[in-house]
Amino acid sequence: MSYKSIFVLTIPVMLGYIPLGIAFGLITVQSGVEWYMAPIFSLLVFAGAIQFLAIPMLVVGESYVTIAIAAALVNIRHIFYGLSMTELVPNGIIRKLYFIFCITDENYSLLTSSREVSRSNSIYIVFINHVYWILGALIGAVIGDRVDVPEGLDFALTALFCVLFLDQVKVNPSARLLCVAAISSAAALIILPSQFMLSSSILVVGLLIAEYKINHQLLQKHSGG
Amino acid sequence: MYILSSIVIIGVVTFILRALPFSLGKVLSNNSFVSYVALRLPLILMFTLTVYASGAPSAQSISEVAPQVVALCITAAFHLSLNNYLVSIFFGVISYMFLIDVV
Repeated sequence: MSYKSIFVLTIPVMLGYIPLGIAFGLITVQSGVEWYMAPIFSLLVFAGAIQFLAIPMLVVGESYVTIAIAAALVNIRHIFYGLSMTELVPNGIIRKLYFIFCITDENYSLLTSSREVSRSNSIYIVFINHVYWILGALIGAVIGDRVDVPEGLDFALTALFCVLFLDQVKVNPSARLLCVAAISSAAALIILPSQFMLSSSILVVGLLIAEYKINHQLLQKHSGG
Repeated sequence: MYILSSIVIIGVVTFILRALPFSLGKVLSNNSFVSYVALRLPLILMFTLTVYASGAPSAQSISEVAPQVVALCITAAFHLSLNNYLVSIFFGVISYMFLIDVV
């Protein structure tokens, strides 16, 4: 692939990453975090949702444990991305580590949806996209210092999670799963709202294990076991 | 220092999750409980994160989160009818801004 065609391939991601990066920079500054933290954050962590989620957590001074749990919950789906990209990992340890660092939702869907992508050019594609992400955060952070950011912009993250949730429901419409989700969140809100992420995730894991065991027993019964 | 340490923690956790399949790929794809959870977790987590991001856990009363609940319904209505990310999020944010301004 020529450099030009590599660039062309990244254009759709650029259209998403630059506005989203700007929004991230704006929200960072609006929350009272130093402006330079936005591009530093995007340099050291390449992951949209957890970065948006982390800003309010950092503002209220959540504990490191809560922050680590939130990062694990938001990004746990990434465990399964690598399984389908083993053919695209570049050679050389530094390149390999950087490539793994860059496995975002967008990079995953871009790399696995084009036939021209290979072990030899994948690193350039993820690098260009990382540059877009940092650039957006930098622009947002710089202008966020000078313009008045309208109150309520942070609702964009809540709305984003809401649409991601609806997409999951479309793919996997299950009343039982919706119950697990609703029960775990409602119980966490009532029992331990100050540790919402921790308590709800413990409940979710517990309910899923119970559900798995029940399903397993039903399967064994049906197969005559 | 707190902010920078938190960023590093998020970075390390995220990196470990992304690197796991390259060292544990076989174990992960052969474990039936892992694939069971993998199929079900995203839906539940997106719900949990919606609740968390709405600010409900730190709200003192139900009326405090009323604008979020209404704006989420509007977001969902747009998404279910038009199925366009930008449109749903845009109208969700606009209606939320309107609601907190009026209420």
